[in-house]
Amino acid sequence: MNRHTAGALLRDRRVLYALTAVGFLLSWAIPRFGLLDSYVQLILMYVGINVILCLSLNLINGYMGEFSVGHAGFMSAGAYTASLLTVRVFPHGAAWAFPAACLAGGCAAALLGLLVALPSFKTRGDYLAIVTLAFVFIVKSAVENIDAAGGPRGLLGMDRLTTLPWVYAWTVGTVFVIRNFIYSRYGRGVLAVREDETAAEFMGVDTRQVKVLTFVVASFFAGAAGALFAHLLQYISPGMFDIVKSTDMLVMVYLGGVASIGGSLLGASLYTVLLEALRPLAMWRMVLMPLLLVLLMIFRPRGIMGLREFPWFRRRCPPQGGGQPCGACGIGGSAGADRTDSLTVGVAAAAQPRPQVPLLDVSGLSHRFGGLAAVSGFSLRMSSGELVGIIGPNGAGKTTVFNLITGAYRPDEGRILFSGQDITGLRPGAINAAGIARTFQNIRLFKDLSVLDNIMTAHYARSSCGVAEALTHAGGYQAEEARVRDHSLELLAFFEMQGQSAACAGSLSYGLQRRLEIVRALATRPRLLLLDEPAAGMNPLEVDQLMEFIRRVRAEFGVAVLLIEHQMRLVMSLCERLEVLDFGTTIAAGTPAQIQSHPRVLEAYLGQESAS
Amino acid sequence: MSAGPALLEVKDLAVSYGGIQAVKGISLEVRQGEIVALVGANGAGKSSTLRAISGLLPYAGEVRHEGTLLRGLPPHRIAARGIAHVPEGRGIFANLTVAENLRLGAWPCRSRAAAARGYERVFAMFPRLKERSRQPSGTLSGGEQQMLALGRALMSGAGLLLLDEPSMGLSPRLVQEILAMLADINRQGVTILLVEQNANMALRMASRGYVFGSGLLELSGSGPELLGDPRVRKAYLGA
Repeated sequence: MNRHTAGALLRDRRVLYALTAVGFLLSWAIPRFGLLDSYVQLILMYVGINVILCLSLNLINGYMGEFSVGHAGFMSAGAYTASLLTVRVFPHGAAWAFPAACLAGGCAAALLGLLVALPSFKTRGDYLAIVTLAFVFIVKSAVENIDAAGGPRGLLGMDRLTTLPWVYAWTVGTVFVIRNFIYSRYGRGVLAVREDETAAEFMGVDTRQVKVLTFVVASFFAGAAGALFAHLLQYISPGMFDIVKSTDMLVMVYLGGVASIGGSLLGASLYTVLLEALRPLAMWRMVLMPLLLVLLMIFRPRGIMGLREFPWFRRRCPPQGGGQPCGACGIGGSAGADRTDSLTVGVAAAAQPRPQVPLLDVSGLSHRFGGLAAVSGFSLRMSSGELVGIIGPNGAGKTTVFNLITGAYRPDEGRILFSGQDITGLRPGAINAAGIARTFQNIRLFKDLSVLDNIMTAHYARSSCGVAEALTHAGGYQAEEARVRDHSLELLAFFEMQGQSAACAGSLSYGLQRRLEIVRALATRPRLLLLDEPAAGMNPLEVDQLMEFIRRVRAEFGVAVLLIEHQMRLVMSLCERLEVLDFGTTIAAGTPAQIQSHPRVLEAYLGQESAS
Repeated sequence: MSAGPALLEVKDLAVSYGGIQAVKGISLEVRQGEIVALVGANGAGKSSTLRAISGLLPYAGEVRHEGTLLRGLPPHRIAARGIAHVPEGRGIFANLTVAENLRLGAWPCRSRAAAARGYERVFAMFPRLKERSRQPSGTLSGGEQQMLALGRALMSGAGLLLLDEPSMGLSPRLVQEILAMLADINRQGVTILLVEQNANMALRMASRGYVFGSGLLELSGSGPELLGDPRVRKAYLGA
């Protein structure tokens, strides 16, 4: 078979389905007719259980970029719950008792996952690692103190209910559900959290919901794997599920590759088989395995399949467009769509002007960092469709004003009304939903995601797809996904960026990255767009193009624009009105012409000559 | 600004990222006491050139500083030779205070007195940094961080400054002040290699300039020559 046909087979989803069916048949036939000896069968079952564990941990540590070491605890919860059910509650249960016990084990673990996730994800940073580490110890000592579960001696008496077909079914089910989850709106949220959590929040992604949900889904599968494990070994004890067990799973994840389904399949299989193969070496195994890992980290720091994917597990998509394809996500964009009509109509509907109430009404805004007043008594009114600029010396508090309006900081004093609605102190996501979007001084794109995915992620808040639909890709999922995708492609086509839709956002030129960030903000359908130094790092020619771009955005999308900029040519020819900030307060306001000759502005900001 | 012997000599420099060639064989030189400007569109390879000189990127070709080949030297050894790089994106240590950032800039200085002189010079240049010297530098505004990055580079007492867009994010008034300061530092004997988007400004202060276009040199000449060149005006200076 030549390379070409091999590649085509790898891409053809039907081949995957056929192989899955054959696998199922084999998993039934092998034990039925004794095709393999029972030791090999046992190893195969361990491989399946480890795949489930590895893939679910990869969801948290690889896809979401957090660091959890709690999987042993969730596995333990699942193993004990299911075992107690089959031993104590349905000792001679019907055929459905075992699958029900596995589900119950998963649910128990998911519940614990929720309890761990809720407080841990309130804060940012490395707390999750510490909390989950503590969690593993808590579960271990809790079980040791429950006599009904056998205490430190462990629990016996389970029948060997775990069979090869069951393990196979659970493994396939796990791959199916986790893959669905990753390629849903929640999955885009997960990747956005990994890439840039702050930017994700400002684009309307409910980052807390995404993180808690992901953690719960991952815990469920760890619990189910624990249930399978318990009914395979027919004996469990608290000591089996200690931190070393978690470490094993971490090793599988990083060996196979972070953020990759294929990687987890590979990592879990390799690690399980290798451990068995090296068993004759006894203690030397403990030297060899770490050495192998050290070498792996040196030569392939992201694991064998890190951030890459087998074609079978990639998202189904039309042929790829131009640009450098984004290997990280394995997701291509389709060639450009020429349907811009519905786009502007849809946005115009969202941009209904309200004549009486000002669009933005900020009054008496103050914010201090420690003792330093960054903003004090700042007020600003804007009506729909206006283009206003904020200028001022460095450190005058301009970006702080943006951060207060968009909810990054809570103001110490003052009130922010957006078309009459009080948005003071709301979370960034809620403010984005109200109709305010922003860009950042130092571009904050999701760099490892494709251009299209950057835009699709910004649709998070406006997409109604529920959790069940995301996990199964059933119901309204396909239609919803197609709608989001079409709208994203239309937006890109509108700004002549459809050719780059499959490219990695980080691989775009600087000017295009700035442009993409504005398009991403527009995808959240704002009525007010805040641009923080959009022309920074651009040469005069690029500044000209940017001015044209901003004019076009305003004309076609009917948004009001508030921008911070030091590029005087842009500010003076684009803005209708200027606010000059110094030491956190407005020192002058007026038309560009008035500002240009204002003595205080000349002194504090412009200097003796206005720069080119 | 007399034209001395070549302080920095770059010959057939080529840099690639993955499969993409960002710099495709350029040669340039910077003589003692000069201000040399590199201008051109975004993505033309200017920053990559600076990063290669500092040893932050692997490259093909030759880079000589005072006649010595720099290839293979780790970045800290290159910095110790008196080449200070102010990177694009500032690269300040956000959790350290302003004063601590500056202190680290004086790492190559062996004497305490030299470091003290450095503080004095930087604080005289940027009074704002003195006001905020005990503040964690991550809490500074974008423009203040730019000042800090520049100040930190000056702390080392380097003889050659590599500046990547020093005017980015600064107010017009501050840009003028920084230009004046750079000219002043230059008169004190510091050689400057400058990457700047604001080509007009850069070429006005530079003794010589090079115009980059997608990884290759398109033009070179004295500042005024390039400023007057219609091709430069059309491509980079705008209408």
